[in-house]
Amino acid sequence: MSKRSILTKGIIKENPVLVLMLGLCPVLAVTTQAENAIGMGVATTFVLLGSNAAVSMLRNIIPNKTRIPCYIVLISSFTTLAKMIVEAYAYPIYQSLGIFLPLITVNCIIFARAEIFAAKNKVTDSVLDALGAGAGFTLALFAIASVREILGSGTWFGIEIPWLRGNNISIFTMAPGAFIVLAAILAAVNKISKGALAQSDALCAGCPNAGICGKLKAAPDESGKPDKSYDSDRSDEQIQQSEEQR
Amino acid sequence: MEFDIKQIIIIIMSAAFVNNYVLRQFLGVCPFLGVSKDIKSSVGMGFSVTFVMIMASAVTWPIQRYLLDPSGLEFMQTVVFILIIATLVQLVEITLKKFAPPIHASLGIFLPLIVTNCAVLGLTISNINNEYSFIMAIAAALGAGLGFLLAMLLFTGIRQELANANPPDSFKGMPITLISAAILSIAFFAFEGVIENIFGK
Amino acid sequence: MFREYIKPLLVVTIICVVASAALAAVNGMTEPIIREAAEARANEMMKELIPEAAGFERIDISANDKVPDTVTQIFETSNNAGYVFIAEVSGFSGIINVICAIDSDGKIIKASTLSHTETQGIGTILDQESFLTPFTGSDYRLDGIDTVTGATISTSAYIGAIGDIFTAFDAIYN
Repeated sequence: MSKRSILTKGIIKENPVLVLMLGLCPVLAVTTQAENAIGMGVATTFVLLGSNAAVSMLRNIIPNKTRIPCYIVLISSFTTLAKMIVEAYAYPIYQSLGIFLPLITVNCIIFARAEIFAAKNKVTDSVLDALGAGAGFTLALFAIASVREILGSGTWFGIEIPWLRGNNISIFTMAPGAFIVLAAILAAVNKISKGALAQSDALCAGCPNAGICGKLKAAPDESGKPDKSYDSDRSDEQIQQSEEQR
Repeated sequence: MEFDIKQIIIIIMSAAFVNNYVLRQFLGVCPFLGVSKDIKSSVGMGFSVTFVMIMASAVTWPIQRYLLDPSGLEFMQTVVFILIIATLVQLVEITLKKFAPPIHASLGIFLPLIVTNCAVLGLTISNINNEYSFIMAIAAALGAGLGFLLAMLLFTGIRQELANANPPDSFKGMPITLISAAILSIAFFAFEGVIENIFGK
Repeated sequence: MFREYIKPLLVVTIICVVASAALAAVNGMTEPIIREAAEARANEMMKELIPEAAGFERIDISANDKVPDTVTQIFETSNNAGYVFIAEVSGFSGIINVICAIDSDGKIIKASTLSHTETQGIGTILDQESFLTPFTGSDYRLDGIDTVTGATISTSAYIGAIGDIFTAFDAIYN
């Protein structure tokens, strides 16, 4: 795979949100304003970059058996870093992202990229992969947030839009609006790609929910290893280890 | 804070209905959309999440209060909590496997998925942010878990009907599922008034 | 033995230690910035409530039993322009942070909401002038101030917080 395609695949062909439907919680929750969406996108990209780079650097050191606790520690540490930095230097965004900032830890996109890509590839490739996936995530958030902010509040990046400001449809800023806008954008993606994009399940394997959502059986992940490895190879001994970490 | 039964009930009701984790706060959307295809999985997932939420709240609350707060390590919260949840889920799985194989057989496959369920981590963090007492934290966990179960059950019913629906081609699959979730989410607005009127006066 | 047990354990431990150390270092750098910014925001908020105040000084209330637990911070103004009280109460879902300025005669200068996590819709009443303005000029009896239908739980919690603030005021200044 060329460097360029590693970088760009995350943006369109394997867009984490619009094609693979990963990490939907923040996508729905923080997209009431375009500014928040960008903030969330940048914070997630930062964590993604950090975790991909670290996992890739340590890929020959981390034993296969204990890789899950290692990834969890790495990802949650980078999330905490992001949280501290945002709180110190961008407090308004910190406030509006609220609990979804620490919850970057459990964003399946990050885990999926670490497990599927960074654990098997060189650092530079992993960084490019993270940049691509992060950009794709940010773009998707930005698109959804723009629609919701313009229709729901009649503003864009806080700038008032003349006619819409007085005629805003406030349900778009509330919970149901998030579902509706995401549905409409996914339908548009389906229409444009004639269903081709929605068929690609390549990354679904990285989502721990895939085992149960049934998609996985159709498409094993890039390594050809079924996703079951995620849970089945954690032994008692690992538990004791993570116990001791506490 | 003294034990206030009315406040406990309000916390449970508000976590389960008004601030439903899935439909109003968007926590745990992935399993909600992924697992809600048949009743059996929904019930299994719902009960597993409720159980883990209560356990996780019961463990993380004292750790935050008696370990992280006094030693000025609040910044380690996210790291510590996620590790606790991951460990806890594994311990629960092993315990069930050993002592209650029938329950393990029906809930076992859902447990590992809960580690990356943001509803559990979200709940434990918001318990701390809201400065809940221990009992309030457990109540919030119970409410949030039951609310998740309720949302899963309702949505499973809708999805089974959806299978017979014939939406426009581009809306097939996920888009129409999300539209139904939106309608269900609108329905949950009604609970606001219900709880206001029961407990408001 | 080493490969099987000790090495994996060692790696996880090392990663944990390094990660914690890095976080502690960054926390050391960002914490003062966060604290200063929070103080600046609180000062600005208080300045908004009492524009003629020259400066604010936090007073120690930890030893005073008569101050309700809900009242977390009390500030005095250096030129005797009034007092600022900050209280935390549980609302519908989570904490409501109430800030209220009272003059030396025991009348409210202005009440405001620092932050709350109440539901969108019913909770937003706490930010609205129509709810907050009637507090201005009122004394501890809170005449003419009532809960708002449709948001009874949030507004009664708010009014309860103002009541607690007056209890604290009485305990310290009367």
